[in-house]
Amino acid sequence: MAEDLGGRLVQAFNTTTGIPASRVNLKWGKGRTGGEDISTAEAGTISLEFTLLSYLTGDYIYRDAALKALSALSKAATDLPALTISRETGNWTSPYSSIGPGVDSYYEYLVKSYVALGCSGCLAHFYRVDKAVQRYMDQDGWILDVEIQSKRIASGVISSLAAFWPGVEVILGKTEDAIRHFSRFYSIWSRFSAIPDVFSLQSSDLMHFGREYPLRPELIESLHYLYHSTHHPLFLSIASLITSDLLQARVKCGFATIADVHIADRYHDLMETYFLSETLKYLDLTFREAETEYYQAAKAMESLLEVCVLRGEKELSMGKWVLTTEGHLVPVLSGLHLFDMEIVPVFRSQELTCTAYSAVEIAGWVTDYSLQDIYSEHKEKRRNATLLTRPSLFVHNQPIDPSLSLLRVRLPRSQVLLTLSKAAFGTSFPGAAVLVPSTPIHACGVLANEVRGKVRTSQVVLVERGECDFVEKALSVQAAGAIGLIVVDDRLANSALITMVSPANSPRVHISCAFASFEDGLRFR
Amino acid sequence: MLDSLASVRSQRKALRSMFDHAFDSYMTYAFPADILHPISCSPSTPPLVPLFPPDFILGNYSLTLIDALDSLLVFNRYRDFQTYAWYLSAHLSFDHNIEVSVFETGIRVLGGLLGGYVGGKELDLDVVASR
Repeated sequence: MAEDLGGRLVQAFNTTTGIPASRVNLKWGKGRTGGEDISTAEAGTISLEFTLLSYLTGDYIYRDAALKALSALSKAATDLPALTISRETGNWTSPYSSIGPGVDSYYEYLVKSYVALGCSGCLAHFYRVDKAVQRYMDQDGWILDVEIQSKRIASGVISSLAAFWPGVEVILGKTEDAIRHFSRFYSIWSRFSAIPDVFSLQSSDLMHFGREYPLRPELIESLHYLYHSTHHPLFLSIASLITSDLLQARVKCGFATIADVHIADRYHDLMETYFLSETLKYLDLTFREAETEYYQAAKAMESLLEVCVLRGEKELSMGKWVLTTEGHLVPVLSGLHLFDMEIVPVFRSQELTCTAYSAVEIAGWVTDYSLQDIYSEHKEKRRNATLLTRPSLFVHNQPIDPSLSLLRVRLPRSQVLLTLSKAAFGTSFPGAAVLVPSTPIHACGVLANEVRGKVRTSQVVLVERGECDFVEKALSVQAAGAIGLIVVDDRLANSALITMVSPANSPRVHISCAFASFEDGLRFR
Repeated sequence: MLDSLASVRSQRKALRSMFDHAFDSYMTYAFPADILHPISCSPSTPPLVPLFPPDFILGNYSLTLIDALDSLLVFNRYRDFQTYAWYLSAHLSFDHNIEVSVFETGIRVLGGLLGGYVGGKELDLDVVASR
């Protein structure tokens, strides 16, 4: 199967420069659409797959195609690779360089081709480029796009795809740099409980596009490598928080793309394949490593009864694999010298130097780069965010008939619009809110609810009709700190929605109040 | 130490149930299509005009399953791995008049098949040969 597919894909590499076509027709070969430019990442990300395919089949056409493409990229190289390259001329066709989209996995494959395939030329080339990245692109731990000629910063936009970078640094033994860069990316996650595709450093906020989080793995991949190399417990704690953050994407039939990291419960109806192949895999590999470590420690202290830990199945041991940019297994073949790239101009190949760091040094960096603080903020936010698992509602801003004082709301994951009637007192409803049931149910007197502050959306309390005046209920809810109140009718028989009014001389209510029928009340529960 | 061990194990259990929910939903509602729409619980339709997703990733080759093959191994679902690897060997075809991204198909489909092959072999699971 793999060879069949490889044969179809390799046709794209049949060009004068060796730089492949971007697209291929599975049945007929080279694609007809698409320009002659291709992104650097697309051209330079096939060496692991093609070399493994050659190794398994004995047909070296695949490896040679990957090698030719990588060599063409290294020939074009100034000190920094551009975003795109022409497959006709082999020259760069973009004035900009980045570690994010356009180039990202090219860097990753230079390093991983060294580790898995023994390509020392790849490593040498990476180091050469890395020098320029550090010198021109790294601004206070944020790695920004530059214009190659002038070396000026071209944009202050951070792409979530670039979050793979600390992982590559870990592989190279640059742990301190990895922690520094990771803390920047993680500060974005901590703020939104997800990492938006695009984040603007200038405005320190989201932009009008790229607000989604399609459950991408890059930050988690870096986290995995950091835990792997340091075994610092903070990275494990971060992995736990991220795991629970991901639950916000859980929907009826899978996990959905979060459409806007700023708004709860809004999704795109799509589950990307890398959620299974990478995001969950890297999290499990992280916890698996911790499990092994704690297990051995517990065993060493003889605090574990052997009978408890008999494992029925053997697990895939992860030591001998390199994971591709899609998280797939490639065995380490480097002893076989299957793959080496000629570097032009000739560059003395540089070996990977691994340094062992002490736990004290690592703890120092974790503090230096505020990772502990970012984590604490994240944790605090996460604690509050448990509310998000409760039902929420969206208010449709176009009232069906303003004179009727009716309000249409929608519950998440439901297409049904419910009609509520607005009270004669109080303020207008917010666009979205989290619904929490009141304790006690009638809300006459002080609420036992712990109503916490604003967490993305604010809280509206559900209360049952009866026992006391509507205004009294509203004042109790207001005193508890919520922003709204929905009173649910306590009888099925009442056919019309009533408008709640307050007796003369009642204290002013400054939260939003509405009334729902008995049946609709059932949907809220 | 025992507390840490127990907590890490419960984390793994939670992750496993997330994986099961995502993967089993794909198998139930979308397979053999490429991609699952998790809110409408429906499969992606084969692209006559490949517009969405914009990356030319759809190729009518059960993309999500292939991409998840070695994850089935990581999450210890060996029997399912065998069943689906067998299914793919019998039914998978690339003979479709569909234009795909060389990059995306290379990393997701070729990488997925190879990863499943070498991983299954490592665990002595009876995988059909890749050639």
